[in-house]
Amino acid sequence: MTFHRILPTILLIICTACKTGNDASDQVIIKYNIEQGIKQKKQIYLSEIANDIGYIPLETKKECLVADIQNIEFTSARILILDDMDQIMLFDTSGKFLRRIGKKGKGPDEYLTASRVRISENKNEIYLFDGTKSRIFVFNPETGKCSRSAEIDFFPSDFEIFNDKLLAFYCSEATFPFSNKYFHIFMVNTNNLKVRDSIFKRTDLVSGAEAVESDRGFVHLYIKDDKLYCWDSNSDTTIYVNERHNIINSFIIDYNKFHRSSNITDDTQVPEGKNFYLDRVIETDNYFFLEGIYQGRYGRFILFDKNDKAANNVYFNYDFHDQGFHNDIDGGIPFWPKGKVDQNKLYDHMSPLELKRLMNHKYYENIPVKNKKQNQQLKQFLKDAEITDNPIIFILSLKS
Amino acid sequence: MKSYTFFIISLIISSFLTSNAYSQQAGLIEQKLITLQEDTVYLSDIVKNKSLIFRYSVMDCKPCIDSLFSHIQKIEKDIDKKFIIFFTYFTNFRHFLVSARINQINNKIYLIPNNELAVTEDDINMPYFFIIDNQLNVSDLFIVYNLNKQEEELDTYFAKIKEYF
Repeated sequence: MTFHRILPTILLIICTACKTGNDASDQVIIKYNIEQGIKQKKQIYLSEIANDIGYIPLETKKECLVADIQNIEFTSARILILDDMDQIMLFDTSGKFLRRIGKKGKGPDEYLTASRVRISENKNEIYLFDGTKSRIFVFNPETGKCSRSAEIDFFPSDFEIFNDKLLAFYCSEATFPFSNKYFHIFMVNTNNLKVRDSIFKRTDLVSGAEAVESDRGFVHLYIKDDKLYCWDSNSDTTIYVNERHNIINSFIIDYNKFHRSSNITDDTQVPEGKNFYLDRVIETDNYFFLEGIYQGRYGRFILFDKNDKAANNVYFNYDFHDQGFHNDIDGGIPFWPKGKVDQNKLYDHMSPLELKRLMNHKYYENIPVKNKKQNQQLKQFLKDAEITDNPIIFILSLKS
Repeated sequence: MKSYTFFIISLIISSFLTSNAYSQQAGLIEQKLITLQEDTVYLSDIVKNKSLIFRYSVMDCKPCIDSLFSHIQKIEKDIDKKFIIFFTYFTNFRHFLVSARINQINNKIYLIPNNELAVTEDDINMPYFFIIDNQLNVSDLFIVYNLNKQEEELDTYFAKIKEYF
């Protein structure tokens, strides 16, 4: 065979490998049947999955009043808060207020909407995506001032810091009215804020992938074992991107008969019926924490154990708070994570007055508690709680 | 994706509503409101004179709310603060209080339980202004639908309504 005959074949093989981005040797698929997790109700004790729970009350001062928390990012020394009034505030790990980050406004170094923030410990930088200005801003955590910014021509649903050198932006199908660049992951250089690479995540290239028709538009990018994971509520398959920027399947949620039916058209209402709508997925080394809507109710929680493949509908059987892990560690309120601190720690948050109200419930009078001292300290702290006090962050340390 | 479609349709609807910058409305029905002190008051108890209402909700477009708040600060030199009332909605009472403090609103702000003011424009997730009199008649409703032209349109709107005060 002459070289000019072989060449197209070689090129075809190379192109196919590049375009699909699948790397079969890396592929470890966990298939998870959601039916088991919906039907199998179980009260799970926090001590079954965790060693310890800690509390960080965020300092309350006039200049750092926190509204409804949208996003919390952690480093070893700092806590970065974004609230629904687009305020970005930095606290230390004891909850002491350090400074505000950035300024809202129409000026060149000012942002209009804080859609998402991330903090890099190694680079000592804070990144913000402003969906109104279509701009990335970089802030210095020591001063709170903007060091650089750049406009982008795509409309991401989420972004994450990838290996400190890149910011990975994922455009889901939900961005379709604004851009034809949906299903792309754009890799932006953290130094010059220019697009270095873009990866097209076509669902038909992901084996087993199926559009879920959830159209709730939830997306979550996260880093685990130095890989970039991308969960999209519109697909049943979560993928990751490896260091070669190839797309690999990670886990598949088998919705089976709990798929959304196409006759539901108004997604502004809480959907009734038998379908399960997944709103959040948190992955740790040993578990998936799945949160969604089922039978017209928010906060349906499923714990999937990767080791024994067991899935349970985490059920807290009491009238005032019917979901979450029963807190037998310190007798605090039932726990369910809102996000990850790191690979082994999860967080939740609540206003002190709300926590006090829940903990005054008669349920807590006689429950067995492992750490009674912490329980007393928490109650003592909550004694003088006021409605405008800033939230308390709960940190759960998982068993390794 | 449908939420974006809904948003775009809302913008189109609002552009019709505001094609003359503001539209006329029927009156509001009597209803309960919640104060910053968590007391319940009736709408007719708080509207004793013709007043400018700024209606916004936690569900609304955030840059639009911010932008209108900054404009309210500008018009306070023309319209006495006592004639400006804020009607808002938050899912959580603490967030209502914190929002009022951050925006430095000390009085005349009320939480609307269930986010239902019985004004058609409540459905479109955009903040708006209107004038209300002591008979609860609504007039001069104004929605900013184009952020680029809003300064000009708001100036025109306030030039008209400041004559009421």
